[in-house]
Amino acid sequence: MFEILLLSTLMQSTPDFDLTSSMRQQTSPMEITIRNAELSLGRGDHAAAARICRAILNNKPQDPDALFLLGRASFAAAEGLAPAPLALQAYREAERSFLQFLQVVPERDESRIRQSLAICSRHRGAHRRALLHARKAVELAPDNPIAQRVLGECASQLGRKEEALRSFQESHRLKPSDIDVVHLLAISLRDLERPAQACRLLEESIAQLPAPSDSAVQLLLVLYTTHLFTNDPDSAQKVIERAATIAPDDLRVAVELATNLYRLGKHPRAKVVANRARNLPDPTRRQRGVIAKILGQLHAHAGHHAEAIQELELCIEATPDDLSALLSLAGSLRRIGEGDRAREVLKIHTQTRKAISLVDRRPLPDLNQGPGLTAQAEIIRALVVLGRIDEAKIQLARRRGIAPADPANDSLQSLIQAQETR
Amino acid sequence: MRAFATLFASCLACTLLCGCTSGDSSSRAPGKQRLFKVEDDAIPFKHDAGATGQRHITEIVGSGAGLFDADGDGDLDLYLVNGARDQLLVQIDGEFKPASKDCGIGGTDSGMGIAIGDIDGDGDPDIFVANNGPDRLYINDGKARFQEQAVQRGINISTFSSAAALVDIEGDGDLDLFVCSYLDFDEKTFTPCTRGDLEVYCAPSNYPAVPCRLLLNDGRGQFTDVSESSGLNNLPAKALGVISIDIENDGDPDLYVANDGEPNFLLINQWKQQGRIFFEDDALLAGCAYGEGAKAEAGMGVDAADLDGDGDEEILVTNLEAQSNSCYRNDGDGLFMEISFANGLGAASLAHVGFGIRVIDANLDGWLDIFVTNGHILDNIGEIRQGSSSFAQVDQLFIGDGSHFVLTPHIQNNDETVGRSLVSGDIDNDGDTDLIITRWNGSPRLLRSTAAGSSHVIGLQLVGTPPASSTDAIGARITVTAGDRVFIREHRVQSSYLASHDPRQLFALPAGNTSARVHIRWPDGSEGEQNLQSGGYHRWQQGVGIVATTPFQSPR
Repeated sequence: MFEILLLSTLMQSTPDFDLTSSMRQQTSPMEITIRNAELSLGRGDHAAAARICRAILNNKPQDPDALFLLGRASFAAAEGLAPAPLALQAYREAERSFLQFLQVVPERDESRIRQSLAICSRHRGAHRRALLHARKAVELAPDNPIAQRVLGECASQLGRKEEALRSFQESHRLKPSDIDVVHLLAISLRDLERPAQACRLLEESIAQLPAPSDSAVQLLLVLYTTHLFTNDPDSAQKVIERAATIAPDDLRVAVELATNLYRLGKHPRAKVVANRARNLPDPTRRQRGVIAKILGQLHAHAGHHAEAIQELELCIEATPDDLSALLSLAGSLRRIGEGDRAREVLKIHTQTRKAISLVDRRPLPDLNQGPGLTAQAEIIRALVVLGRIDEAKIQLARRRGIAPADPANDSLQSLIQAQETR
Repeated sequence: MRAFATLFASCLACTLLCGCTSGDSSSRAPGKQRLFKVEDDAIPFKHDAGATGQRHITEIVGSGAGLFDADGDGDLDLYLVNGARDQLLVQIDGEFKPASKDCGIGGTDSGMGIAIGDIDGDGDPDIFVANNGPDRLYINDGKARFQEQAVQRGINISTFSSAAALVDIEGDGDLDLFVCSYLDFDEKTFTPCTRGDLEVYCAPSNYPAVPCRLLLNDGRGQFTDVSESSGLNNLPAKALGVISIDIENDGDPDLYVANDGEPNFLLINQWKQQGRIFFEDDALLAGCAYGEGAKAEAGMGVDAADLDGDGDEEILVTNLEAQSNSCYRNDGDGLFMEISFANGLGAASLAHVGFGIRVIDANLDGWLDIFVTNGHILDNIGEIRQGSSSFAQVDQLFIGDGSHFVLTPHIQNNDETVGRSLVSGDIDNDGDTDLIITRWNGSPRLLRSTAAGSSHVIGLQLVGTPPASSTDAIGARITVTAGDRVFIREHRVQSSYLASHDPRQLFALPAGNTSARVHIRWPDGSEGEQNLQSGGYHRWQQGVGIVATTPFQSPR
């Protein structure tokens, strides 16, 4: 979510990259073409802008305006593109264009270009390169809160928690009203085992917001998870109740409220809240899964195993990687005498657990090395087992970007396709 | 132990007629009074973790303790395992005092757990001590003089052992030995672990797992290692806790093993089904391998009891912070369901690192309660978490009503402490359950129960008759019927964390009952039934019946 917000901010700020007027002294056919590309970009027609730029670059590969605009267009396109592999392709093109632009016009090395480059690199999985760009962005504009925030995100991705914290703190100092930065800073403090500071920051920030607001709900959700981080579900409950008062129809809040009520053993109310959450619009797969799991486990506790099975199967359909739902399902199946089915479910559970352990393993494999490619292929297979097809596709796209001729690519592609068609 | 049989005829008559230990029961009802009085200086011993300054994992997980009548004088003595030198303390006039130096105890090993039972079948309690290093076996002469005879009796274990259980695996009337292995730690290849800038004790995930061991007793205390043939070598473990529990109620004991960071085991004994000593791990299918949320939790202490009064025993496991202590409800037919978030045990345990756990009837109301001792595994967690967590933590008493548990403040002076083992026993023979908590690098804490006299209580001391059953009668099934309540309990002595408890059993009767029908199914399947009066300990010999009754003493 934050990345999308950040991209929007960057794109809104692109008029500041007013290179065309500074670099062209006279109106020319080329300038008109560039203006057309800019107009397309302004209209949100990123594809048209990119087409124009690519056409220019076919004849003049080093044209700085075309390179720059192509970077902008591709970057903007990447933000709105789905499925993920197409977005990755767009980020790659944006990155390539911006880098070439800087080669051609090194004196125009600006913070915002570096910020964009950092984001592109991050999306491609080139986290170290992203960090270098982000650091450069901060070096070029230390008082730019967005540059600081991008650096924080890139550092965080690489586990450089202290550097991330410093950057988020600086970003927050420069722009205290940025709720997303408060969010990121609180998580950073939590990751560095300073949950008390995170809670203080969040409470202070919430107090300064107009009472019923989306921003307050956003920060209350972070505060809620921070209390859970300190193993304090009672305080978490108070916070999520506050959020529910502000936004009773916010699905994120309803799902967390049901979850924590379950955790606290307040099961009748957990059931009511979960049922209500089920009727709220536009749930994500994960949210559908959580709601079904809560209801399934409540049924199982009460000995209503037929109902439990129905809910738990819904949960697993939505979130095949939910280990506790798989175990609960096996338990309910055994209790109604379906021992063989229970064993089948337990087999899936064991495969799923192995796949999760593979996917969660850190550090991530370095794709520039042979063993890294092999390890990443295993991760892609594990993602397919977990039903996380979009992530598998992203990994495969990254792989193809780095090792297009790798013989495993095609078999991985087939595996993903086979899973998709199931 | 035989001295428990001493008859105090005149006192007994009075006690049994009065029905409870002293005075008017209503005036002694616990109500809001503290159920335990803390005595931190009652035990002259200080645990030494054997710390090297390098934060070896071996230093942070010990040590255990055992309550037993070492010298047969009728009161409980105390064996304290240590990281440096173990100590036997004998109780004299109600006070624990170090045993004489020639008692034969005092191993200087890096000590962990303890299991006490009549290993050589001569009627007195012997001691097995699990160490990081050679495990020890101390054979008792009945007068609290011991000889260490591990190797000569076939016990050659030098890996990192933790808990142990003495249990008659194949029903031949002696106690076999199950020894948990924690992990493979080698200080020569030790590499420090860090968290941020701070050096910390390494997590168990840094070390390989090691299979647990099973040694069979020949009836005279000679052991043969059958770990390979029993299938245990195929089950690498990071075991810290074990209990014997007859899951199938088929008369042969199964074992539940709590593993640290790995799925727990439910080792189903195939002796009755296959006629051979072999175990199959059924925990995943049974539903007790993983904790809440399907996590492989940091299993440490373990206990079992019939919490809901349905005739089978639930299994409880203590875990790390952020992992609720587990409560696996036994639904019969070998099926368990983790219910800690449903019955009040889960959320309250999330902030603590649980070690010792013991199910007792703390307030003698006839419903079982749960005591947990806590203490972090990182000595510098306060610094790491900047005060939001601490090494020393409060102990917790959950009062039960058969379905739910409520955390209560019924512990006087419950200041934070680094708890490890939790051992139960009626230290003052007054008919309630006292507790001892071993504290890391500290003196043991004695929690003296103040509940005695508030209810009518029946005490039992079971004595098996070899070769039908081991003298300790481990695995006997006790059924007590009083009024509309039926209490069912499997007799075990080792549970909790690295602990060996008072082998006697206490049952508080429902209000209005002064006696109960007591049924014993002995480990060999033979049965006996008696009407027993409350107010004392009844020594019940298999095949004979009640051979002695000792009234409870007046509460201290």
